[in-house]
Amino acid sequence: MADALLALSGLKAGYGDFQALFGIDLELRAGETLALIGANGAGKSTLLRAVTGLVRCAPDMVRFEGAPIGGSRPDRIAALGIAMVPEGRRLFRSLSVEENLVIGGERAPKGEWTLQRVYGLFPILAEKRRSPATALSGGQQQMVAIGRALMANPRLILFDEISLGLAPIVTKDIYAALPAVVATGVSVIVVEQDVTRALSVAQRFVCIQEGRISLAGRPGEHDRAAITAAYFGMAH
Amino acid sequence: MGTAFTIQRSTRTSRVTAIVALLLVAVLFAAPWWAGRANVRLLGEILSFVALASLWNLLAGYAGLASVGQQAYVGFGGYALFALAMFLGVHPLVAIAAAGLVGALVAIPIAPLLFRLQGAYFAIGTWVLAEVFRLSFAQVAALGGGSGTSLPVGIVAGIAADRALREMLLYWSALAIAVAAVAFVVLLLRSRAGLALTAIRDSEIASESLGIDIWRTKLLVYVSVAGLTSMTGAFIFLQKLRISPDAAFSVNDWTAYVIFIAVIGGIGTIEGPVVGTILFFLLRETLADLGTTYLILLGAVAIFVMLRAPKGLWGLVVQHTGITLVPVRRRVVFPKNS
Amino acid sequence: MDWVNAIVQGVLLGGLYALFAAGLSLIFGVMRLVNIAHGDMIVAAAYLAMVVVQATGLHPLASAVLAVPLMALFGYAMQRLLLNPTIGKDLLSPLLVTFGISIILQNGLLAGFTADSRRLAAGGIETASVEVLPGLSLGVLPVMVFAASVLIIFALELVFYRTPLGRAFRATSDDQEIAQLMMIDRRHVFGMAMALSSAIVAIAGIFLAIRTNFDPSSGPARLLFGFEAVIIGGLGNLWGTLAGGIVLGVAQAIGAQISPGWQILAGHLVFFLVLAIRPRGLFPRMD
Repeated sequence: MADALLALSGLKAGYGDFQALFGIDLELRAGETLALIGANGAGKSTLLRAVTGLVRCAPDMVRFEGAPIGGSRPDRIAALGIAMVPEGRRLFRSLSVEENLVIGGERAPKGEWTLQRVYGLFPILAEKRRSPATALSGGQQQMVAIGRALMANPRLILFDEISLGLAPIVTKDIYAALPAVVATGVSVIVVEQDVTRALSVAQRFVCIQEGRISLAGRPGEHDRAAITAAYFGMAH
Repeated sequence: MGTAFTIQRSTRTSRVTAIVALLLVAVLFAAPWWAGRANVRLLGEILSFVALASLWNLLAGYAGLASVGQQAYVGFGGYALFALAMFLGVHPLVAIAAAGLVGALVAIPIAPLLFRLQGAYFAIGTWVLAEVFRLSFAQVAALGGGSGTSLPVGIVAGIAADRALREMLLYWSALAIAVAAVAFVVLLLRSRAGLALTAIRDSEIASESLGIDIWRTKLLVYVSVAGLTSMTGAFIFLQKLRISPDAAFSVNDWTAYVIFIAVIGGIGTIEGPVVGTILFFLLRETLADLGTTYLILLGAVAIFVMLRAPKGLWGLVVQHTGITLVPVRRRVVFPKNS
Repeated sequence: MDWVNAIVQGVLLGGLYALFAAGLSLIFGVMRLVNIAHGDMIVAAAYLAMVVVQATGLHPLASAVLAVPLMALFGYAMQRLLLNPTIGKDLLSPLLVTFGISIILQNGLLAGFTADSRRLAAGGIETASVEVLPGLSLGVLPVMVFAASVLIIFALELVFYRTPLGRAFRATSDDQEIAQLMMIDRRHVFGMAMALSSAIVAIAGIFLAIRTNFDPSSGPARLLFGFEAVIIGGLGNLWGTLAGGIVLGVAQAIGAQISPGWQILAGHLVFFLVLAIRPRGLFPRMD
């Protein structure tokens, strides 16, 4: 489809002898939010890593605005406008909060997201701007990771397990910020193990099981039992 | 449904290898009868490099202890032999073994110090150690200080009555050291410690969580390699009959060449250092007249191999033929059925 | 007074050692690489300065105008062509490639300039001195070298903590993978780190050439002194490295007072002593 922002076709990828993805077909339109769900080890993170270039694959398997980008260098892919909020946050520990945000944007085109806007979205970060990133609480670190990705003014942003390891109340706060992100017209892929949470923010979802798509559709289109079956791989 | 399997280590090739290796040792043992005097001397030198390269390979290629300072033990072994023979009257051939023991003992307190240096800084630390040895032996007046000393004629004559027998005994000790070094590497890698080393190489963190004591395994390797390297050094300087701090602790002679041998032969393989030594001596005998150009060439070849074929020549052979002459890995064998 | 004199000279010598160390510490910090050819690059820079002086008639100190950019270019090219392909594989590959470069540089210099010992005349500043106290005089050149090393460490700190390049260095050092997602081309960042290291190497080489005799085999000792300064001072702390250089310089000066043969040995022994009692160095970085 010509109007797809991101198109995966027959995506196969893995690590060394271990293959994690066995032919994923997926399309994402501009401005769309997609939830990627699946059990631990289903291949969700590998999919995000293939899109960002951290895992190699054939060029045609990943297309961004129609151009083949599979297997390109991660920094080149990022420069096209794909940002990621990685699992475990992975902030730069020798950089301050503000430096973590600045480094996210300093090689990217200018756009709506600036330091001021990120601080507007997460006011606590403005207070802690001079602290080392690692001195923050888990939730605050997650805010920095999101802000760091936003600073690139990306076309597509990938959230990998943003609720992992956070208290429910903190997760709620983080998710409360998502509408403001989506409102800028950016496309989003949310990877979550918390299915309800993921479906609540997405227009569409894809469920992966053992490296293959087991179910896709709109939230509400399938009942819980069908999703559970697709998630855990039980026959129904 | 359980599948029966056995753990196998030897293959048909490896049994053939064992027989060929024994034959080779026998042929080498007989060298004084089929080779000329100069060639026997050269063979002795080649064997000492087989030992040095195999030991360095165990240290750096298997145990991850990237040393660029093994000249510390080559030189120490040489000086220990001279000291034992000159001051205590130990028979030089006995002193070779004794030098190995002293070298290992000296390494025991040194290892914990060097292990405090992380990663690649360990390498430079080993070099500082070699310099400490060099500068210290240069202070020992009884061993000739900075200009070194020759082994007194009386001691040399004491090895054996006539020159021919002396040279034979010397050559055989080189053969014994080389065989011992290679056999030690093979046996160690096949032992529990060898399994631990493989695990450490694959993932230091994972193996630590499996309860492998990385530190002790590395200590064992470092100390035993130090001992065997000292023995080799003792032989080298017994053959030279003369020792000086600069020659004994030369980074070019005892580390650069040895690393070159291991790199072109294949780091992390048993066969690599042997193959590499043969190649090195072929190069040396044909190109050494080029002087500095020859050394520049060696450096360039080593870099090229590291970039293009990091497993060396033997790695290429294995990759294209699947042959492993000396298997140290255990393989799980499922019975053929269906 | 002899001892006071020795210690003061040792402190000043420490400035030169900190210069040897700064470049080494920089690239280890950014990419965990230890450049065995570091000392040989310092000596190569000394020869480069000599050639520049002979060809242009510039003052040795002014030769930096050409020597610094040329060495930086050399460092960048070396990193991109020879070292980047080995980064991330294992510890051994980059180490051995730099070892190969060391052999090539040493023998290349030997082929080009013979084994003769050289020294660069700098119009008298190498012998000029000022008497600050009766019996205690400071050499003008050692003071200049010390001041230069303080300035360079200060400038390095600025680059590291106040510039986009410095942020890229630190981010790449923290997490190479995620740094790439920040559109950072790590091959270029590594190249820039080596270029910066080599620029400092050039300055160290010029000072070495004016201060002491050098020949193609002088490199390894400079590598070891720089390395010792880094470890004594504590990893990842540039001011600590200066302190480490001073400790080393003073140890060598005191050793030399005892007996000439003890000069270098005393430095090495102090290095091992520090390793034994303070394995993380005298001033480890607080994390």
